[in-house]
Amino acid sequence: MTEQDELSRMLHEKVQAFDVRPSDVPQVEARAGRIRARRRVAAVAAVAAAVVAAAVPAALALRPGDPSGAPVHPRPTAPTTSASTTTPSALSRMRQGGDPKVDWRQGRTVHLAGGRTLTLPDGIWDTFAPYRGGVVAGSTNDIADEVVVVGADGSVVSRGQGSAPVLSPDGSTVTWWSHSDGGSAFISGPSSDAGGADTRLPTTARRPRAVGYLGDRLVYRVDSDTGGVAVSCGGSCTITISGMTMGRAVDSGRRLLAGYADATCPTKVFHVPDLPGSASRTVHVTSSWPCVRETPATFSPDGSKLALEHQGADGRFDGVRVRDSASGELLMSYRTPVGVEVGSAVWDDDSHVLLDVYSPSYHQWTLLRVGLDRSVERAAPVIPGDDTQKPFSFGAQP
Amino acid sequence: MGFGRTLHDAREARSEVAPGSGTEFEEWMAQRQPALLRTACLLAGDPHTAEDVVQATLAKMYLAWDRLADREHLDSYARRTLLNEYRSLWRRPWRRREHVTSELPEAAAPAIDWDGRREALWQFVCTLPARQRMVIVLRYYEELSEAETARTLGISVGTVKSSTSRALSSLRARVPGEAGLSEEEA
Repeated sequence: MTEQDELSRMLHEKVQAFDVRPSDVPQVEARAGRIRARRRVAAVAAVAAAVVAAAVPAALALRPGDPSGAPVHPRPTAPTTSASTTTPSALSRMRQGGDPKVDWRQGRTVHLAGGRTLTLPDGIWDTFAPYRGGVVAGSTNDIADEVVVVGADGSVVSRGQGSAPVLSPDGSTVTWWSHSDGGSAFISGPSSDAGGADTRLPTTARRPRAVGYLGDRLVYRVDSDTGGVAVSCGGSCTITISGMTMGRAVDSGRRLLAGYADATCPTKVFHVPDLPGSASRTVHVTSSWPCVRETPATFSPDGSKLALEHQGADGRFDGVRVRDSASGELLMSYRTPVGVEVGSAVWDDDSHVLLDVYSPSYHQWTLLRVGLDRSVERAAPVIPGDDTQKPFSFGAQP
Repeated sequence: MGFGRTLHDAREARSEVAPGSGTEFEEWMAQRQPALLRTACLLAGDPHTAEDVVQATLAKMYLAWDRLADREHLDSYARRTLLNEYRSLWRRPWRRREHVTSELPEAAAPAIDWDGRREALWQFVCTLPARQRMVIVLRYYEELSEAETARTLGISVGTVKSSTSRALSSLRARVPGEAGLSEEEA
């Protein structure tokens, strides 16, 4: 039997095992009604935006904080309705500031510290990290994981299944999970030394993902489906973090680990005790945070604050919040313009958060820089494209 | 009342009439939904997402029914809509996230003698990138030709070949075993 035959037989047999409930006609009609209503709302919103756009330019010219004092008249780049062909979107009307200070990607071009650029192969690379003079980039979606290593000369060194890279606290080492050689292993290598050697970090985890470092120890999710957080402690040693289902962000200096506890009180920041020795064990973590329902993104460079992505009642991520790392106190909250969705959030510096955002109404992508004082500007041009194209992403942050 | 207004009113009036109402759509839906659900299950990997994707597909077919003059190609249109729904669902930024859950994922109850080897093959398919997974499902479940698969996905035949080749190569690396043996060797 060929592998094609075996695949075919497996798929035909597997499909019989699913227990599905077909929709009936009234359900389909109701769904169709919602789709039609959404289309109408989009059209009405576009008309309303046109009215606002006609009235607001003068006010924009007088807006405090705009050093040029000049009105901004960008045009929508990819309108989707007839009304929006003459309507600048909220993203287009925003003032554009400087490029991100951190590593970032636009299209296939990666912008690294020092002004260096590298070109990635085709693909949606959600994050990347410098590696041996080139970069290692990962796609971190929840169905397929892919990782590519690009050399300093831009050539593809390897490409296969794996997960997003993370950087050590001093930025000297990059670690990711690779499945390209048929085995499940973390690979750790130098971020800058082209001659450095890789190290394979053993794990028995089924579908692990690296989260970050606590000191020199790697924090990873044991299984991206079933949850569980563990710390690598050398050899086959594994320290299991009790009480967490998923780790999302680490602040190595303060030994803080942001993630999910359980469904009743999802997001918290935990303080992790010292983890000496190389004996496998389970440790308990503590938290003084209240229950919040935002998604942890990244700690600020100084570790004092945590950026979290806010999810609206309709399930869309529509803003960013900043909380005190130690107490969970809300320091800043920003909601995107109506309909604009947040993809991810990283820190540009200790007082500014960068967001990659998408407007489904206008089919536009851009980066926003949001200050702790709630000042907002674009950090990149507006790029047209549908929601499958995600032109921006950020580099891994230590 | 100008021409534009009249045209607008006519469109509005027509849109209030259920475009997919009537027995023709219902008959087609009753006939095709099971097959769409099966394909969606293999693409999505779980029945709940599959039900959602198929319902969205049927709703869009319902809305477009009056415009679908070419009734001979309804099934291929529906298949393309289904794949677009799946692709769109998978690639939306808000889907590319991990959400907290207090419960373990449901495991489909095996209705067949599901041995470890086949489970390993299924797990392998579940981890394929979206495009490779669509190609594999269309080629080896729907049993479409390379040309039909290319046409359905809107990609070139070469891309179908390379996606298939890459998936099979990964399969050999990750699920070594009986696959690849000839009939005689097996």
